[in-house]
Amino acid sequence: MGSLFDRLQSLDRQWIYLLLSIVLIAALIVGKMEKPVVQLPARQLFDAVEASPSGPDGDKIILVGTTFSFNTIGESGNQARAILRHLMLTKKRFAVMSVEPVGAEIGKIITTKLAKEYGLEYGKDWIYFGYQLGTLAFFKSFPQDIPGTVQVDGIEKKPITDFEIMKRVKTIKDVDMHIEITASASVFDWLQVVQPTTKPRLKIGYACTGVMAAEAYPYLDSKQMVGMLPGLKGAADYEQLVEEREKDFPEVKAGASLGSIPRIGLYRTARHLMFAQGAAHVLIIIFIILGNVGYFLARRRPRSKEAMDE
Amino acid sequence: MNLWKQLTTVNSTPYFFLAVAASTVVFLAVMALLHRTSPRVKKWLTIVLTFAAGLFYFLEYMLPVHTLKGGHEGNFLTPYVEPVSNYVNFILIWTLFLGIISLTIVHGRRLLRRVAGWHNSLAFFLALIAMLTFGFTTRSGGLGSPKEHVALQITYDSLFTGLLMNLDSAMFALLAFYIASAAYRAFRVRTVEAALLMISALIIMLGVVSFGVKLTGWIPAEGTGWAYLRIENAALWILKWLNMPGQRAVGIGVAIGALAMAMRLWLSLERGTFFSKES
Amino acid sequence: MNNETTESPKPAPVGGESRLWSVLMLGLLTALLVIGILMNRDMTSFEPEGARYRQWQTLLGVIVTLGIFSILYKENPVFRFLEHIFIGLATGFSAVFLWFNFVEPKWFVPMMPKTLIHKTQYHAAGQGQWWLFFALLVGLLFFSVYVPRLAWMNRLILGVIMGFFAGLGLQMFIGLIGPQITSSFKPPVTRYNPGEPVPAGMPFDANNLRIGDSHWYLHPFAIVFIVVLVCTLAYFIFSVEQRKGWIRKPANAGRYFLMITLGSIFGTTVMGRLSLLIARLEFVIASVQGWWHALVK
Repeated sequence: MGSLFDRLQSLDRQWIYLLLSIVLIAALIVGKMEKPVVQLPARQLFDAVEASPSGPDGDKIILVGTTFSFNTIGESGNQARAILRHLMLTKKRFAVMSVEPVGAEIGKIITTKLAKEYGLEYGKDWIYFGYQLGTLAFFKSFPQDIPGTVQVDGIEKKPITDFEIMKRVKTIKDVDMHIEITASASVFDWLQVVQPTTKPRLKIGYACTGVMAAEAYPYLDSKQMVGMLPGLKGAADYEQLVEEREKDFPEVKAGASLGSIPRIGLYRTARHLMFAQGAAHVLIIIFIILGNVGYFLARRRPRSKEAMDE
Repeated sequence: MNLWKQLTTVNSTPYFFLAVAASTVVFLAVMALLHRTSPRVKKWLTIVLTFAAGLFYFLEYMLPVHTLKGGHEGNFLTPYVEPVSNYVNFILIWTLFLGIISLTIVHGRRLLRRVAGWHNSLAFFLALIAMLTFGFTTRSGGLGSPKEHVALQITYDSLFTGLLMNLDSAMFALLAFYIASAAYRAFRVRTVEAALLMISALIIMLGVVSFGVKLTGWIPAEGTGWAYLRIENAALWILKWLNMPGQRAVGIGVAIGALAMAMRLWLSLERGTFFSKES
Repeated sequence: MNNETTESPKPAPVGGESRLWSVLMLGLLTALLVIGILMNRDMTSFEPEGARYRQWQTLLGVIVTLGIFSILYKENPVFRFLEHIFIGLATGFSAVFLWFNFVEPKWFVPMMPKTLIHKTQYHAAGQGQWWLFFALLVGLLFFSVYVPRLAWMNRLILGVIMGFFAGLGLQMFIGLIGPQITSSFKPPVTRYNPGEPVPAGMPFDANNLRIGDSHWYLHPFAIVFIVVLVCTLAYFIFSVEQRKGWIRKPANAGRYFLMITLGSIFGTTVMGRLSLLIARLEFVIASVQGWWHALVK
């Protein structure tokens, strides 16, 4: 046993990498869709969107920021897909924009594909602001004058005031909520610069990568954020909530809009990927336990050997 | 139109070049004059300009607001926020070229001296030139026949989506392997602190995945407080009531420190940052 | 007497073996790019969704992904080569992106007179704002760092830029941290039920416990919150010596609570990093499955 743990302690890291790869590949191939236990932050965001007065009879819109790139497509792409499906299912009027150029393109691709499936009309049910330079000047001028700051839309390149959805949207007061789907700290620009200037306070939803999830809880507690999707788990939770909500819309074919978008590397849903996530977490935990057991055994052995010699 | 009229007509080419030439001469003259001053003058100039620069945003935030022309709220400095912010960004953009110059110097030296691995530096230059060439030619429009246009688009998109984005994603993906390796080889529970760290990490990691949920799924959820012992509830509780105040304390501490440092920089109380030994 | 010193054989220079690999990789990448252009040469307009183009992009993606992952086995010339390609492409993209999205529309075009850019698509937007040229002159001061005698100019411009951002500091602090501080005042006992949402799966709200039959409610989690917050803040107070006096125990406790916070960060970071790898592996698996189906068909 001692020599086994000695060998395990001195295991080359390449074996660890190989084992992780094998476990993940196997989990991705054989894995099936899971039904997650929905956590509170995702539910809070879902409820906030449900309660938003941005439906066809409402006078506000929801702003969705797709501020991420291809490297976080697994988390952020699935979050974006889940959120946009919810908005389209419940006929909330929304605008998509980004302060990251690749994210703007990804947002456009996902929204255009989903809008076709849900039968939404561009310019009436949704609009695409495109890429906006995320400078201080933008965050200062955008809340005061949205048409003046954005000027033209990102698809038809026409003045945004020409579109029906923007007829009553002039300032940030006409935006009920901003949902920032991001892999960077861009949400803090909205929290620091935009939200303090709004009365009532602009609601901000946050869909972040797992790395940034832990540090966002203080903002949930202080109600600066109304809800949060932490990484892939958050995306899976939101997908589950949307699926349950779909039952209230019999005319919509369940799961019809969950098709893959290979151009941006979005394949299966977050609930599929959570199986692989779970397998990897278990492996990491086994690594931690094995490493520590081996360490403690190695520490104890010289002392017991000395005792035997005496 | 005679030359004098052209030179005095705003938005004409000769006027533009005259203005640019004059401003360059004036700028260089002023910098040359300042260069001849003593280090003490240079130091005080830096202090005064640093303070004035910070004063703009500070006053814009602190001064009372009223309704301006156009119905927006602000004070007399608010209309200048956008141009000032843009101007600062125009200036900052040149630091990107500083980065490009540094990289060019480092890789250029390696290439010229043929040190080990100089071929990688050649690859760097080829990639840089390719991206600049195809990036500028495809974005600027005004190209030749559509076929050439398409070929350039294909090449640019291949460099961007095919190579750059995939390289970026693959580099990020490597981190997961290093975490796994660190978990096995470096994460040692030697102290009470490390044990606390590990226990909370394990609960969080198990709480978000179905395996962990199944582990404690037998604990009844209805009617009793034992539900808090279910791993997903325990993970959420730790995140909300132990992690959250800790993060808030760290955040407040860091923010106060950052504010103090910002004040010190604004008032030029930081020695050694701007001032050389001669001052 | 043997005066010759025995020298250990010098290791083969890394450059020697990487030269062949670098040439091979460069040739392979160039060949791939040429093949890609030839494969799609009959495109009359650029269609990124075209099946043939997507297959070729996928091939590029899988090759570079596996090339980057080769570092996991050991240091090798393929990874170094791809790493340098990545740095070159990223640097070039930053310059292109900044130029077309910021410098050109907000600086270059407004600065140019209409008459100078009349033959381009921007001629209508030229405003002749020549004073914007000062931004270039001032920006050039950054390059004075390379001339030691002129280094004071670099300090001047750095000071001004830092001054601007320092002036923003107060606004950022109040905007972000103000609500954090106000929401930290959580009373442990209140005369009302705050009515916070009960987490899913919880049978009751353990944070709002009614005291007997009174109108008072006890919030045990608020007590936990206050203790953790105060102790962790105490850990960060360096104005008072932490080894003795009233602050010693809270600061020690704060260190333990901080470890729980760091453990939470570690747990969520593991989740985040693994998601990146899962997405990348999913791409490779989906690509290989696609090729397999195409081959079998």
